[in-house]
Amino acid sequence: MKELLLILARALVSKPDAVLVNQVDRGHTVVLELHVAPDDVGKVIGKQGRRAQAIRSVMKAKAARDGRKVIVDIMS
Amino acid sequence: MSVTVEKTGKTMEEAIHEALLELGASPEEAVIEVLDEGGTSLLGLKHRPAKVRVTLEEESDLEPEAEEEVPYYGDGEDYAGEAEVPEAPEEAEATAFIARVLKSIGIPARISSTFEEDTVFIDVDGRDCGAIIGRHGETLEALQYLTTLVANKQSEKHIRVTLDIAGYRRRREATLVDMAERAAERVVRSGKSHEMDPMSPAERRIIHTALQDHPDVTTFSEGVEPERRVVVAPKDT
Repeated sequence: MKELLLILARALVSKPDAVLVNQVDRGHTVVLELHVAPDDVGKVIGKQGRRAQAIRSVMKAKAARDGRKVIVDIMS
Repeated sequence: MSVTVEKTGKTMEEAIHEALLELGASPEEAVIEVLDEGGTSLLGLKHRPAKVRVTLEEESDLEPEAEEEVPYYGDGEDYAGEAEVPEAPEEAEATAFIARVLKSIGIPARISSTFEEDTVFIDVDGRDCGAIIGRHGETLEALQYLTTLVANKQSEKHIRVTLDIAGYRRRREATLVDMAERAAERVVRSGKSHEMDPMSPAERRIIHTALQDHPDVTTFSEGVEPERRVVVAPKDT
């Protein structure tokens, strides 16, 4: 789960090495905290959150396959 | 990571063929084990099906050159020979990204691509693809959007990406063109405007394009996203 979010986020940012994901399992739900470099926050959120929405949509597909729910928190 | 399938078939060849098809693999890259050659039982009464196990080994490393890690499978005609390997860096970036994502989600699939003018066309095909199409193609749209961003990251000119998964977009387009034509017929018959269901910008464009040369109707969009929809109206002349 974490790996996929790393792939998605690293593909969008200008500092891929600064991307970190912290995974917290809460029973059925996986909470993924996404950390990126300060100047890259906009690159994972996008205008009106369009990028964040696309990331969440793909993450949801992965979670559904694993029979889980996923919450992606973008930390800034 | 490797993927294994077991298949039975009337003959060994049939079972192998089925298994390779499911894995989206060619015979050279898969490991084929024959579990049972099949044939006729000793008494000659029953036909025993053949059984095979086919394993596709996949490299787990994610970083190397795009050209090497993306599985390209041509259909022998459109993608014959060297055309299978993307020449444009944007195309390579885009297909490598899709390959990485699919691998991480755990969906074995064939990825093929072409690059025409400013558009990268990527086709994904394989079993289990429904998971990455999503409801009303929601996941497909998200993936296409993210892939467009990836393709444009290093690119100087603007690149479009059209992603299709298991023929979903092609089928959906055919449905939309059909709906457009039926709406037009209805408008011609009744002389009244017809409002279609809300659609995404891409889907509305398909409707507009389908009817742009229609002699008797005209189209425009109305409403605010995500409820924006196409109205088919009689041409006023």
